[in-house]
Amino acid sequence: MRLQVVIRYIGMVLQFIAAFMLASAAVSMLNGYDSSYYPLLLSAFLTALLGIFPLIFVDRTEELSTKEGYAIVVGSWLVACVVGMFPYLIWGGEFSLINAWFESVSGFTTTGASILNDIEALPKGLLFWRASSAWIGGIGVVMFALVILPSLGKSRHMLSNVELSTIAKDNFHYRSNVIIRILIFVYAGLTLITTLLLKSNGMGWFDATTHAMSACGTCGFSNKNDSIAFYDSASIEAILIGAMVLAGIHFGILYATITGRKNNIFRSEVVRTYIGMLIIVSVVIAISLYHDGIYSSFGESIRHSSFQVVSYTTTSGFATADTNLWTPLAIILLMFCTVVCACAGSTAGGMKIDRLLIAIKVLRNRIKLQQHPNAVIRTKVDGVVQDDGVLSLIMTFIVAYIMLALIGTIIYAMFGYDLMTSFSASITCLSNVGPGFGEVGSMNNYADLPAALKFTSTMLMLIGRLEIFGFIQLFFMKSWR
Amino acid sequence: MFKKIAKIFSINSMSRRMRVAFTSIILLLIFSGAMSLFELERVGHDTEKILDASRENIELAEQMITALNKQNNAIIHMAVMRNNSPLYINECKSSINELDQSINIACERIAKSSKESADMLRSSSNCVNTLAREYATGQVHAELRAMREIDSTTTYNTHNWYIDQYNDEYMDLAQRITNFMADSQDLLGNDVNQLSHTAQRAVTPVFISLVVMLVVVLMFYYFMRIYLIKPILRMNRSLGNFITYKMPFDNTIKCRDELETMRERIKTITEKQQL
Repeated sequence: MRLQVVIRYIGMVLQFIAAFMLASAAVSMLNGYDSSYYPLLLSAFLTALLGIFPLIFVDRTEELSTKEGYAIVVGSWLVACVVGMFPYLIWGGEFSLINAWFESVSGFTTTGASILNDIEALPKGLLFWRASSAWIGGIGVVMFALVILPSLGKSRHMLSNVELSTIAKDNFHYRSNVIIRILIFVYAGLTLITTLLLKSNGMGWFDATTHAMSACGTCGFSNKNDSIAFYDSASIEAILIGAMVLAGIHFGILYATITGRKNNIFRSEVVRTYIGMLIIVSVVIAISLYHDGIYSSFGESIRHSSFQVVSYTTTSGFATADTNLWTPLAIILLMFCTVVCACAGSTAGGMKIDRLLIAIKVLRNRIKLQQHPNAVIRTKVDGVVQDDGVLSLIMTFIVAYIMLALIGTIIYAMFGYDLMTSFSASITCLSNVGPGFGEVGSMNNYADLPAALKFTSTMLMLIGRLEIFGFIQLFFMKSWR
Repeated sequence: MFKKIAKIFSINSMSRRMRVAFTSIILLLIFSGAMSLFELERVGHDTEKILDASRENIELAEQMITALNKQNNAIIHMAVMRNNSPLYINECKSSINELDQSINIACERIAKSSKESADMLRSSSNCVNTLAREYATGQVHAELRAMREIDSTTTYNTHNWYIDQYNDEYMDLAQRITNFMADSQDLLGNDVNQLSHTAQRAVTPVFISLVVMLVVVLMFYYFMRIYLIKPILRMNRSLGNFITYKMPFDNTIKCRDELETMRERIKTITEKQQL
């Protein structure tokens, strides 16, 4: 593996991050040089310097090996999280070393969990940087680098193999350079439309932009301590639901729908399952909430349940209600949403509904095979036969996910947290959702966790964001042929 | 467009690359140094402010205590020792003004943090000053005379007045001034805590700059090793093999910049020698 090439590509990612830091400093400047101006400017300078150095020394490379591709993706994510801490650390306030690391990882992995007790105390420049980290994380740090990569063809393809989950890659029917165009076009377009809609519904420009960035990155960072509950506006909630639902759909399918191609959202079995799941779970939770008298009317119940279900499923983590106060049935269903999450190829994290759909089909076929041992039964999604390698990888992923969730739960429990807090915190970090239940509920935060648990949570977030194997592979690179 | 941006960073000369690298490191060093100076100056300024505030509080408390004791001393001489010299009357009157002034400044200072404490201090001082003013203007004597006219057997005199009325108020105000000192020092304690926090924060940018510099130096070392030292070592070995064993010069050595030209030239020389 050519380490210098990996460093060069990471350097390009750092240039993008530095550009966003500068943009945040500009926001700070527009707000009367608030207290975040100097930390952001300083961070931008240091990040740019780190990134420029390898660009000066290492020449452009056309070809990348798979190993180098993995190292670039995982390395970029880790380095982005490290430099993302700079503005927080220099600004101070509630940001100790571990808190800054937690907030940075939470942003870049689009988890949206926070350690801040008073988000509103943050200056606007820093709030914009926080939303930017979520937005950059949403599209994938590496995807940004790819847009400016002068090298064409194979190297791009190599990186997108790692960045997107294997299922998403199989669903794409475009050349790799088109993939980048799709991601940028759909992602930036969705963010812009959401911003305009939020603005026209009563939010200020700043709040509209940051919330749109956060919603499209399925991160869930809000500028308010009470999250979206602060606005208490059905129209704002409806816009965010729309943005989150779309951000949770395979971007290639969204692009195909916009450009009038055949493999659109109306024909996709995965999207149908996803939308169906959102509707059914929202209605069941609403009935449960209304039946138990949590909300006085069914309309209010469906408003809150649909927002929370979409927020959890798309791994956003915005909140309009304290879900800790909801019925046990609602909590269990929201936990199910936290595990399953949205579609592959979107900005959402977690297990992905594609894997669940295939796993269910594999189970059904297994039962059929026991009844008819000589039958040849294939597993199909959207009419495409899935090969055994993919099926095996999916089942392995599910097992790995469950194991990691259990390990996380045990670690939390070791620190004396109750089962609800331990399990929900573990799965919510692994799925990059953000809020869990118990002491890490939708109206609470991670501020009171001990430093070791905060670090464990960030590791779970990174493992989840890099589709488990992407992260684990990093430790076996030497023996990897 | 991106290719154009990439071109800006592409430098095709090793010497220029080295120059840029060294300039970056020097810039970072200067930057870290400047940051340290700036932050240290800020911390020094904050420390000075806290020390000034502490000194001012102590001086203020001293002024209040001095004025109060002066007044108490004058009242004792007049009421207990029955020495009604004009000197003590003047001392009592001047102490009333001094106490008023210092109490006003103290109240202004603590009003922001504790309005209740400021009100208590002012009320207590008003009580003491009112009693002292009454004594200095002869109002107390007039009241005692009136009492004696009503009841000729009464033994109530200025000594009793001092013990029953003035002394209690005096003790109360003295206690409040002590409390003021303690409170103002507590407030400064918060500032000191904030200062230690600020000092810690002041070190953070410098620390981050140093870490960045360390990473840059490590990268520089790594790039020097793979782009400069390694090719030179390989060329040297290959040239040695050519001279000693007449082995052909190694064409597989990967070089760039000026090293590539050198490799080509060595190759040409060795080829000519072989012919």
